[in-house]
Amino acid sequence: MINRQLLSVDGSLKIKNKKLLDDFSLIIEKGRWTTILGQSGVGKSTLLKLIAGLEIPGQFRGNIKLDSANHKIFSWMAQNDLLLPWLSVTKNVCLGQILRNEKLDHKKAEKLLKAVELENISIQLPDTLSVGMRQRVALARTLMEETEIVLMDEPFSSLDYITKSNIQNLSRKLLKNKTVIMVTHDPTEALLLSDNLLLIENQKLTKLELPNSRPMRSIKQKDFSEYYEKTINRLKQAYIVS
Amino acid sequence: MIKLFKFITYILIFILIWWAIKFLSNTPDFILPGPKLVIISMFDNYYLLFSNALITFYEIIVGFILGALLGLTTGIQLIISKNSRKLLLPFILLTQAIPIFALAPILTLWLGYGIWSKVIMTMIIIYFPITISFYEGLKRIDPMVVNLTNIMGATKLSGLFKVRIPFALPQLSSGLKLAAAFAPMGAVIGEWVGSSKGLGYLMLYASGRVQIDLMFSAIIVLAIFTVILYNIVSFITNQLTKWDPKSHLN
Repeated sequence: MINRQLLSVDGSLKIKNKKLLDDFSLIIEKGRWTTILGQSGVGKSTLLKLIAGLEIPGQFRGNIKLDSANHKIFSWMAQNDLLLPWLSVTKNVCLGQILRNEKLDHKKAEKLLKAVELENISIQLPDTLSVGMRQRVALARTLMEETEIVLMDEPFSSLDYITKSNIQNLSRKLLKNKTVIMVTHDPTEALLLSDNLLLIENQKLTKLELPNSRPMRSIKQKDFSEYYEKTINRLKQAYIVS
Repeated sequence: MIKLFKFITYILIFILIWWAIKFLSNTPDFILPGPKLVIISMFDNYYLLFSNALITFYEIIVGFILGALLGLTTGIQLIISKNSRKLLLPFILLTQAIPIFALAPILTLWLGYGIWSKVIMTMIIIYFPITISFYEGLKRIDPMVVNLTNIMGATKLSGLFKVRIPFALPQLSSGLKLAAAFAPMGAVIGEWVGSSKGLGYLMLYASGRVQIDLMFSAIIVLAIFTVILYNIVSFITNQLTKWDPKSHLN
């Protein structure tokens, strides 16, 4: 089933004189988790910034089309939690409201903290939390925004294996049916979370094959190793070409 | 309580060293008076010291507040405008390149013997550490935090006041503490160059009449005030940066 197209980006992207993406096309479907896979330095994060309308360290020639009436389009989850150290956990979750001078919805923040399995830490400062807890607060902050599209820039790469696995499961549960664009260099998390998987190779975005029952539930799934091998091989090829 | 005990211990050690130097070197009182003589002088001249100290303290506090406000405003101006950086940064450096002793007579000539020449001197002395520390703090924000706040819909004003300035507070607090230690220097230099009141004036007056014990008394009163001012500023900045463990290393 093809979902409604929410966002499309096409054009070329270069930094100084180096072409990162040439004549590429990216289509984002509503309610799908799209992952852009690629090695470091191929322009994954730059592409994400471009989509978000942020300043990029290069030039883009092309079009970005967005089909949404929602005034809150993007939320962002980065590799680092980016929690403000002087604000309590609840206030960090409500950061968007603070910045927009809106009334703080503490009840909603509490509910989201509970959803990310963090309770009784509302008044604590981020410094008192573990890396995994901090990233869960960042997830709650992202969900608090209720935006049309969630942008994730390698959000789990700084976590240890167990914490990473827990937060990936939580994210999959809480971001179900939401439109997510994630960039990563980790093929395992790409296979476990994505409805659509794209690879940056040879300055183009190429769609990678995924099983019909996607996203995959776990690495124990019987066809996981088959798709993992395929993805790894494509990544290796992309690396050689570059 | 422990802090008070430590403070009293330091003072007692200082007095002991002072007394030991005086006793061992057998220096005459008109060159180095002993602690006892200075303490007696402080009691004998308490009104003279108090009335002159009030003027100097007033100059320091007004100069500190105005200099801090000017430094904070400049720091913000520098971060929000590229043109301001080009125009103001060389000027800020210039305020430090000219020796303060060279400026003092000019300021006295322009502003007279009243408090304002001393207030301006104090402002000039503290302007640089406050401006530069604040500006450096404002610059050091993680660009990803700026991206995040922009995506969340922060305005320039809310981004500045709710994110950038709080991030800069630990560095600003270092600048303010430095300023608190330097501020009395500005006022006293101003008084040395041209005044008829204040602790600086009293030091010169006592020196001219070989009342070295009185001169030492004035220095001690100024030092005590500087320590108090520094601690008040430290207390306030510590409250503002409670969240930053690096600002509270023991």
